Amino acid sequence: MNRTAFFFLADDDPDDTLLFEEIVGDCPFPIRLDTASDGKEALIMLREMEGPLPDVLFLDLNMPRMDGKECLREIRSDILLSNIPVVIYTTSSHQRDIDDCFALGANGFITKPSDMSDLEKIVLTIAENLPCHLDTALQQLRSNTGTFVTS
Amino acid sequence: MILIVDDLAENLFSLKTLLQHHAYEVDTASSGEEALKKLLRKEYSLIILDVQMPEMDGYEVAEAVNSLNKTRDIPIIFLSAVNTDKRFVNRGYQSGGVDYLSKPFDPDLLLLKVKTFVRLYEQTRELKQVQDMLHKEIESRKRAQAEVESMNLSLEEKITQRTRELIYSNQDLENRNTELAQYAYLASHDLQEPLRKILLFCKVIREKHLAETQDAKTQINKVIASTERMRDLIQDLLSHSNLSGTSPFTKVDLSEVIENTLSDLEVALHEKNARISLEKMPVLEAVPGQMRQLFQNLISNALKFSKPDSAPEILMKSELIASKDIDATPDPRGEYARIQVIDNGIGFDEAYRDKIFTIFQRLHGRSEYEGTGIGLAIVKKIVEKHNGLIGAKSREGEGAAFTIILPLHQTTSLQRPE
Repeated sequence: MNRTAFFFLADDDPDDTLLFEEIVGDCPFPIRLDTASDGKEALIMLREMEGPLPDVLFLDLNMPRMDGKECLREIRSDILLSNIPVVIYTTSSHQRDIDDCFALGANGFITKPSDMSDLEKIVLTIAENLPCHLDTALQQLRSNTGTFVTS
Repeated sequence: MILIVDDLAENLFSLKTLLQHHAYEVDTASSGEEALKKLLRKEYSLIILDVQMPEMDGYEVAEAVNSLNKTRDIPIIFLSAVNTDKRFVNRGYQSGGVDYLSKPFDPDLLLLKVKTFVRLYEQTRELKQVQDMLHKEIESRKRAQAEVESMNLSLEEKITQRTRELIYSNQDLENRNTELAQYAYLASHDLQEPLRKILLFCKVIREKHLAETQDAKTQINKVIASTERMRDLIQDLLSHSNLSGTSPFTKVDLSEVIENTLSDLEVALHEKNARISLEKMPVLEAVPGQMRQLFQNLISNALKFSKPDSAPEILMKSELIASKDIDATPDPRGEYARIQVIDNGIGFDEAYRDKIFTIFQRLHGRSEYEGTGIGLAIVKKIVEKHNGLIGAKSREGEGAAFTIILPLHQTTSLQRPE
């Protein structure tokens, strides 16, 4: 890690956002975390962003105003945003959601963990492997966390 | 009956006597007018008609007879003192006859003609009756046929309507089923969310605040264990209800599926020190996610019900068989795969064999063995959704063997809905 990793979390659940921020804050190295509370806000923030885009976007599915799938579709069809790595971060582990998201161009799919230590692993492993090795990170998480991860 | 028409009473009398003598019934009329009146009222088989009569002569009478439907077919013999006028021959009666005799006539000749015409008339009438009967018969048959046709038509209509109703109610049922599955999915999904939060924060509390308080830690562990159980239950219910939809069949390499499943279960396998033997598995048409779930459940099941004192050993093997039958003989060109998952665990009493595949059925107390009681029900449902069979063999304390028969090829590209 020779630069600050940049995470973006789009999630309407304030508890999840808070926990994520807490874990990111406790991280031994600095991570920048921007957050949005729905897909629409995320899209606007990303489009108006000055400087580099996030290294990874954690995208919840079930959100008001614009849900995760719609947001992902918008991002993939926006020439300036289409290259952002997107990891779906949701309560669902439903096959249809997984299939839909990968068809829309998601890079990974993580079911929200019910364990702080799993969330910690998710944040750390992904941050350590950025910017180029998201797949490697997801594979590691798949075998060493209790939550559902696929890539 | 024969009608004699003549204006002279003596002529009438002599003719009447002659004919009556030969057993004919006879009626008389002394003018054309009277003759026509009688003709309309009664049935006659022959008219013997004098040509020369005052007021209305024989030809005029014949003309009138010919113009009436009722009398048209009655044959006529003209008795004429003058030369026979041929115009009636040319005019011609349709089925009756016409003939001429000059006065004075030969009685034998008259009798001969009378006999012929009467017989002709009778025959014609009989023929007409037969024809009428035939007509009636044809009519009634036509009516009957029309009735049958209309009945057929209404029957067809009824069938069409019934079919339509059935399609509607079927559609309705399918919609309700889909709705129910969606409802179950949504309900489960929304129930999961608060549970996850409960778990998450209980764990945070346990780690951050309860390190020193052993009692509270034990109690919060109980909360966590119950919550996890509920989460698993909801997840399994979710999987079970998800199976109600239709998913597309694709080529699936079961070896790959099982290897992936084993890597998902790595932690649990390692904990239990399990030994896995995986033989070659077939490639077949299936729903990949469901195959994964099937083996995950079977392997988890084998791990769950392992003997407490010995490490679990799980053997998975397969062979091709010719027919869809649990005990079919192996056939390398068979269209079905028989896959077996055999463990050395605690087994079960075969008396409960049917129960183990029923949702929420548990053979063991919850404290002895974890589990939701849905796992094998899901396995059975997946196998059925793949048009396969499942069976289990076991003896208590001597391990269990689950046998699955799956077709290599599916006949539809989508799973049938329920």
